[in-house]
Amino acid sequence: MRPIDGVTSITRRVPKAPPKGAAAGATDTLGKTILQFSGQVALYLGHLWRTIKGIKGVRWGMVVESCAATGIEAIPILLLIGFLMGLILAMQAAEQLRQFGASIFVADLVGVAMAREIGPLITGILVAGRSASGFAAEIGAMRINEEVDALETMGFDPHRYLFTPKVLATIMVMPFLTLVTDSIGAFGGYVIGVSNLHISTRAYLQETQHAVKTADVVNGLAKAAIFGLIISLVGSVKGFLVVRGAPEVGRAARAAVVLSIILIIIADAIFTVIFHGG
Amino acid sequence: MPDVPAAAAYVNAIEADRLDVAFAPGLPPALNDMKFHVPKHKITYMVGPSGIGKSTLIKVIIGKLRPMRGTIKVLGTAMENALEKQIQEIRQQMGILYQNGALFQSISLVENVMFPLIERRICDEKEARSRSLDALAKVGLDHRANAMPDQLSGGQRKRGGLARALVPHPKLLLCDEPSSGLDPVTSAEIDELVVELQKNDPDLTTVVISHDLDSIRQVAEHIVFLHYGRMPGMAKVYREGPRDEVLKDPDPIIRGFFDRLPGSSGRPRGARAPEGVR
Repeated sequence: MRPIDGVTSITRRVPKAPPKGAAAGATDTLGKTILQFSGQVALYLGHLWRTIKGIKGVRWGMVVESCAATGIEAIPILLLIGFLMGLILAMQAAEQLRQFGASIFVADLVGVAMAREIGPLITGILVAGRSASGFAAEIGAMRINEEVDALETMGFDPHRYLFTPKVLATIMVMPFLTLVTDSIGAFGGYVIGVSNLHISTRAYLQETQHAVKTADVVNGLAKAAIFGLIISLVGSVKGFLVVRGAPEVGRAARAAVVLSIILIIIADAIFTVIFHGG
Repeated sequence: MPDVPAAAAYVNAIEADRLDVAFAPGLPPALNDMKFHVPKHKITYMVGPSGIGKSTLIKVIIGKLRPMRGTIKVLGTAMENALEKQIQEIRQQMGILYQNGALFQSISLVENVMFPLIERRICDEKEARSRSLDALAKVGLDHRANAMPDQLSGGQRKRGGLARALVPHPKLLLCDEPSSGLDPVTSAEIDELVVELQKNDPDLTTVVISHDLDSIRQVAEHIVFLHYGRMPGMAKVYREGPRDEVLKDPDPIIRGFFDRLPGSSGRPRGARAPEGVR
């Protein structure tokens, strides 16, 4: 084809840059991903540091209010879900254990699984669904309403008022909520043990007491406190990143739930490797 | 950390020279080569078309955004290289009225007004309440002291915001579009209030960001007029001076703005203000 003008012919003579190979493209993407990930980690660590600094001079009244919202209001749903989880675990295990004449071990399985794993995890996921979204929506709405700007321009660090009370409250209530879930889950297992497997109350309780070690419960509660930190920090930061508009608040709330659940499961995996990997 | 130098005695409440400011780090400057001053103890209006960067300028004044180049002195402190501690101190000498009042939704109106007094430990709770009720009486809202912010009208929220901004006796009051979203009568009431408050406090300097022409004509004592410069998308101080001088200026761009001539905003047709910029 004949060039239409001189520019076209000149352009044609310029040698083209060699196309990027698949490996180079992948390296670019990997580099970008690592950069973005590092940026996110730095962002969260920065907020965590300012939250810790806010402990000095925190308003404990706000912590108590946050405890009530995050903790007490979550109890009914935890009772229901915890009970059902214990029930389901016991029924599933009973099916298998009965074949070996080992039905009594349902008590061991439910007790240990609830204390070590299911209790903290279910509590974490439920509190993430309730509170991470709640924190993100609350702080996001405050951003839009310029309340956060007002705090800053009055010379106050918003972390002290918005982050620190929520983080402290969630860290404090999570072990308590986990204990509730553990207990009600064990009760769910007991109901199946007594009614379906005809294990006596005394035998079931003795077996549970024998199987569940103090360390199992303590590890579970420690995990729950870490999950509390994750939930409250992620929820608060996602809300803090809202710039404008109600749709952004909705997106922040959704993202807070998704990210906190992912991080809870990752943290749980790390805990499991550390404490039970050997 | 080095000692924070005390602010020098100042002639003008704000002085800017050769100031370049970008809307966000990494972007080209949106405010270019700005030179202006805000005389002490007067009401200065910063005016210009929507999206030119007036609110961005407020961010620079309160130290939320650092200039790329140039100097800006606020109450005698150079903000371009001020330490965080200095910025906090300067902020405590400022009061800001945000567009929608920015009252904290979770506490009552009187608690909102008490907030800076209590948190800065200026006085005890009893005195803070009494001073806050006085401040609310000045803005005609003492009868709504215990109302929650969502029970107040738009004009009442702004008046409440004004009371909260003024209760710690700031030296500099910044008002971000105080008449936006209000009917003409309420808007005129807010204007009257600003004039009255300025008259009653001889140490106060007020800066109002607005493009409400009625308000500018009636309230302004000094005007800083921003307009687009020769560089596309970059704003500069086109004219500044006492109100009557600026309003009577025959310059076609100034006449176009104050006589509300279509197409005088300086933006290309169909162009909208950048995201997040007022």
